[in-house]
Amino acid sequence: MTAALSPDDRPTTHAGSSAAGAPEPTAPLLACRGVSKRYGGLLALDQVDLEVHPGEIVGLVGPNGSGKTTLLNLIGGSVPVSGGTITFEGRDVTREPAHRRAHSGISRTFQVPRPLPSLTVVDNVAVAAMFGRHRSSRAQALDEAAGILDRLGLTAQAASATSSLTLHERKFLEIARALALRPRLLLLDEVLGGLNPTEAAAGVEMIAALRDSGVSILYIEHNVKAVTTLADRMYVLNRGRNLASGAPADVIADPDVITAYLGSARARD
Amino acid sequence: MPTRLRRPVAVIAACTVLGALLPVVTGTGYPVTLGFQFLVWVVLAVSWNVFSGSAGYPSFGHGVFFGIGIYTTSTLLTRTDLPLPVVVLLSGLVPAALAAAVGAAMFASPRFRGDLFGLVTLALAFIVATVVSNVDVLDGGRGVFVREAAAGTFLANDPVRLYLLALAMAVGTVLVALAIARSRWGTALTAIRDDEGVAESLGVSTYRYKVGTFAVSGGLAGLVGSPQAVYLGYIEVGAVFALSIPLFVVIMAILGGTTTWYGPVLGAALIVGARELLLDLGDPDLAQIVIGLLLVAVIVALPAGIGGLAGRRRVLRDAAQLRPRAVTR
Repeated sequence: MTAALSPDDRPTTHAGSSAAGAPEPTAPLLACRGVSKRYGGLLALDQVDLEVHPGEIVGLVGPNGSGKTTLLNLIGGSVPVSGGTITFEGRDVTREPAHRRAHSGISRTFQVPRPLPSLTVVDNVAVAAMFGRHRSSRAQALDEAAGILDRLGLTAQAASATSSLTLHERKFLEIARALALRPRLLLLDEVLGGLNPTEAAAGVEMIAALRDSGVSILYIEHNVKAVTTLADRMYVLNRGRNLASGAPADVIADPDVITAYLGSARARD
Repeated sequence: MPTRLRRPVAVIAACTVLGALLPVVTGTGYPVTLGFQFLVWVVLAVSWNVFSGSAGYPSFGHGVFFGIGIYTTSTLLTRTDLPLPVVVLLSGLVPAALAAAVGAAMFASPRFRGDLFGLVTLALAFIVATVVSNVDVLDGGRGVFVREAAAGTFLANDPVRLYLLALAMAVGTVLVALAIARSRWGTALTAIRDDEGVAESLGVSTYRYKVGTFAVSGGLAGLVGSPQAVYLGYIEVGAVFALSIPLFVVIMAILGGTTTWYGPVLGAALIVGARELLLDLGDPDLAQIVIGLLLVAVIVALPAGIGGLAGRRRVLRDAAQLRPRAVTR
């Protein structure tokens, strides 16, 4: 409980300075402006700003409960915002239902994988291809799905029930489904969490390859170090607020970030 | 026709021919009456399953749409000179419109999932029954004599024609269920049943699919209310909107299996057959008890219903076909 009153409660300075920093050369693909989410008396997100530019991998980190997944839910549209605006490709999507955002090119994974249990692995992916940005027939969708599973090394599991997959395979199925939507922006929620070092390394490679294929990525991670190797820029959330943002090297050296992480580590112990 | 539809359509066609031959073989006697009742239950159970089973939204108000179909027919036959086909069509369209309206209102809020959806559909039955029994044009609490009003129509006092109309509707309903199950529409409903949040995130417009399918489901139930009204001859609110009707529909669908298009047909056959056998033994209370026990036994032994047995085999066979390189054990 004492950690909840730690000194990083004061208004953040870094978020402001980065927003006023060097003008970005491109228009943002995704822009969250003053986004808030209130659950009853709990302010889960408080005036959060975040941008993702075309071709970027942006890391979003923060201690447990800092609002990372909530922000991702708001961007994906599965949860309505309490305040602020979200624009995608310059269009205000704040009030759009999730499926329409999926059609416009925002796709996501779930932190705890949520396969559709009565469908096989390949059908799980085919659903996204059938109903996604480019509606396709069942046969086309199955073809597309098979191709994506091949890229992710899941071909051997294609016809299996999702219940037979390992955690690592389930996380990759999440990514496969998200890719079948042919996203412009991919929201990854701790896709490498819980994986062993070999699997995680393969995951890092895959994420880099995705970016190279033209998909912008907003990448949530609990572990700051994991993000710094991948991200072009990163944001740190703490208790639902912007704490810091910028180049990974600068952000991890930030005293506020260090305090927030030590504070949360103490709270868990 | 796609290969994957050929076999089920052949089975349905064969059943249709056999069904149509029944009156030729047995004449206008009791088998035709029993057959009529069975076919009405088939329409109800299969149409319930089209939405409630496929999308995972158990409705306890399916009898409402059936009842509205019955009262649409009785009202139009007694009060207007509309030709019979129009009356039948409207008996489907009116409840479909109500289902669409109720669905559009309810599904706008994520709160009406699961139990709450079931409760609201149950409440709908009471509301509609109250309205019908208080509006003189519809019923007004006195009941309606349909037989006299139907006397001048194609269906007048002819059990075989009623039976054939019900057969056509049952076949049509089963074909609709099959077409939905094997199309992207059916895939959308499966995704909704499995995880609605995921379905949305994968681009499925869950709201549109739910409202649309609920309307189709209610409309099909209303349609078969039309021959039912003529069959009953005299209708009253208490019997038409009895809770036992939606209850039996749910039992049939669950017993037969909600994950296949034909499961509810099996369930309807089993329940109608079991009731008939047990009533022959002479004790209606015993019949209810045995049916209850049967349901419990099936739910314990076969959670996916009787149709689930075949469904499981099919998935495994498809899996074997899709995985040529896998090591077989």
